[in-house]
This record gives sequence, structure tokens and C-alpha cells, in this order.
Amino acid sequence: MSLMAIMIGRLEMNIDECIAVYGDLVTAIFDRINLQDNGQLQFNMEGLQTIIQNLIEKSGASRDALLNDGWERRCKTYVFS
Amino acid sequence: MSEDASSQLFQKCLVNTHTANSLPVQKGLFTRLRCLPLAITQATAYIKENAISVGEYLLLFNKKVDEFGYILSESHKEHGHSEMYLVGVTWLLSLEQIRRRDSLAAEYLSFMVCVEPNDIPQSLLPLGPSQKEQMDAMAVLSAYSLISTHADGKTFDIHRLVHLAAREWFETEGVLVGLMENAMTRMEEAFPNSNHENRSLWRTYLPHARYLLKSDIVKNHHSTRTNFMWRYGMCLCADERWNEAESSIRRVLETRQKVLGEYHRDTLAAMDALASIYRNQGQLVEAEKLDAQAMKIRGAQLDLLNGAGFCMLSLNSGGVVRGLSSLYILKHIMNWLNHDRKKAKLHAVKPCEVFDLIGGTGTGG
Repeated sequence: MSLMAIMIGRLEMNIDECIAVYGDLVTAIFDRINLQDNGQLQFNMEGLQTIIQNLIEKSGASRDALLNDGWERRCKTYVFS
Repeated sequence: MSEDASSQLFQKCLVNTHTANSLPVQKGLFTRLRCLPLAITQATAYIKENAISVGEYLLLFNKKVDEFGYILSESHKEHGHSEMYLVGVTWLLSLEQIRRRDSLAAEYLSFMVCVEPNDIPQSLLPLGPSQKEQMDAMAVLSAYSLISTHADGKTFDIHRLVHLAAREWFETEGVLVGLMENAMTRMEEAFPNSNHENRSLWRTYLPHARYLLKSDIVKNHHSTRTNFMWRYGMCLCADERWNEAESSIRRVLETRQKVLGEYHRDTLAAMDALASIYRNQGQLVEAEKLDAQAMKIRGAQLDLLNGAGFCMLSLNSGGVVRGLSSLYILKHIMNWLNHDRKKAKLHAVKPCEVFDLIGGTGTGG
């Protein structure tokens, strides 16, 4: 849910954009899952990072943008996990 | 004070003694000033600063007495206020000299006369063209023994008698109202808001603000003063001085109702503040009444986008599918909020334009 908060709060997406991007994101993540020999699922961390960076870039911010880029926005965003 | 003591004080204040002063002339001065320490200190400072003789000062003094004494004689002499009258004359002589020498110092003096005479913080004084000139101006006032500086070097006192005499003089001159208005304007500009990090600042400003507001001279009801009155009232609330806070916040509310109207968010904020003051005072009925009134106004608006108060959105953890479902719930909320806007052909707002705070926790996106 942290990602959603960032998408609609910090990246200022509208709700339809957010749903579409979220769908892509989920597909992209689950396509990269490997089933290991011991039956555990393994996620590809590097892949996730690229996906998220692409997502950020698409919304107009730079790949390495910080959560707090110093701009005073009307809407504040926080996340924790 | 005895003549001997006066003489000692005189010598002490006059470091580089002007030798032209014979003892009898000095005595003449002491007698004239009735050995009043404050008057002697001021006279000595004047003599020292302007490098004149005691005789010359006496001449100036006698001339001023005719001017000043006659004003004060009516109202104060008979009440045993002759001290104020003497101090008034020595003060007036100094003021005229200061006006010629340093206009900022004269402005400071006028300001100090309009606020509480004790514990005047330097930061409250009107701003000069540069910090150096501000310090110079304070040095001039110190040199004339008109103010005393606290150990911290940033707080000043003006003697109560000087304060009283000066007010009397300015009032007779007809300039006190203008000076008080100026001081009030400076106060409005300098007074902090009630953020807790400003507490020590507002504590030093409060007595002076109170002094200005207490006088009937300043037009408190002026609508431009509302912002200041609001900050003042909220600081009093933060200090839990409910009775004082009540009168200022009530005034703010009345002005805002008139100027901004019942429905404005600032009017509602004042209403909430006053209700909370009433509650703290134990006036529960009054508080309830005001709360109900505010609630009615808010209910009548029913427009969640009006910006009164804060809107928060919290997205809680719950896995991928539940994550998606909360986005759909949000979509419904947004559609509902945008319904009227669409009809009015306004652009649909995004969640970040409605919510003031958006938070997300945990996994699931």
C-alpha cells in the first residue's frame, strides 16, 4: 500500500492512472517469480527496482527522485511498512 | 537624597569632569532638581554628552520649565507629582537633543513610551536601516541615561517616571495617538504565531501587546488588526490564560463574521477556538451552543472540497487483491466527489487535490 500512497500522493496520479499502473506492476512482478527447488517463491529484486523506476519516470519525475524533493505540496505523503 | 550624595552621584556619572563647574553652581543644580537621583543622572548625562557646563544646563532647564511645567502643573503638581515634573523637563531636554542627533534613537524612545516600561525586548523595537544603526541608537539612549540595559544586553527598561512624563508630554502635544498607532503596527508585524517554538518570544512580547491593547487610544476593532488579535489570542490560549484569550478571540470572531461571513473557514476556526476557550473556562453551555452553531454551518455546506479542516487518506496493508480493491473504493469516492464538478464542466480533481495527507502502510502495493 506504500506504493499506492506514493503514486497518488507524491506522484500525483489520478485514480484511473493508478489502477492501470498498479495492474502493470503486479503483472510485471509476478512474471518474474521463480519457483525454487524447496518449493519457496523467489522474487527478482533488481527487476522490481527497474519496474518502479520506470513507473516513476513515466509519471514525469526523474528515476532517482527523492520522496522529499523539497517542494512544498498541498498534499503530504508518508509511508511505512 | 542629600546634597552630598547628589554630588557623589554627579561626580560618578561625569567621568571626565568638566572642571568649569564650580561647586556653588553644582549645588544650584541639585537644589533645582531637588536632589532627585533620576533627574540628576539625566542632567549629568546630558551635560557629559553635549560637553556643556552646569550653568548652561541650568539655563536650558529653566527655559524648559516654563514650557513643560505649565502643562504638568495643572494635573499633577497638586497630587505630589513634582518628581515627574522635574524628570519630565530633564527628559524633554534630552529628547530634543536626541532628535537632532539620531532620528532612529528618537523613534525608539517614542516606541518605548507606548509599551510597558519594563523588559522591552530589542527585537520588538522598530527596525532601523542597519543593525549598526540600531545599536548606535540604543547607545545614544543609554548615554542619555534614558534606558537601562539588562545583563543579557537585549532587553531594556525605561524608568517608570520618564515613561509617565513622556506620555503626558506627547499627549499634550497631540502626537500620542499617532505614536501608539505606529507602535501597534510594529507589534502586529513582530508578534509571532502560537507555534510552540515561539513561546519564549511571545512571553516577552505579551505584556507589551497587552499594554497597547489596554489603552483606548488604539482602535482595536480595526479589521486589519484581526490577524494580530488572532495570534495574540491563540498565544494566550497556549499559555492557558483563558479569560484574556476569550475577549480577544471573541473580538476576532465578531470581525470575521462581519468581514468574511459566517461560512468562511477562518470564521469557523475562530468559532472553534472560542468554543474551546469556553469549555476550558467551564462555561459548558456556551461552548455547546457555539459548537452546535459551527456544526450547523459546516453541515449546511456539505461540500467536502471546501477546504475547511483536513482530509486524510490511509491505505492499509492487505495483499495484492485487497490493495486493488481499496483503489476501486477510492475511485468511487472520487467519482462521488467529482459528480457536481462534472456537471459544472470543471476538471475532475485528483486524490492529491482533495486529501491533505496520504499514508500507506505495509505490502500489497
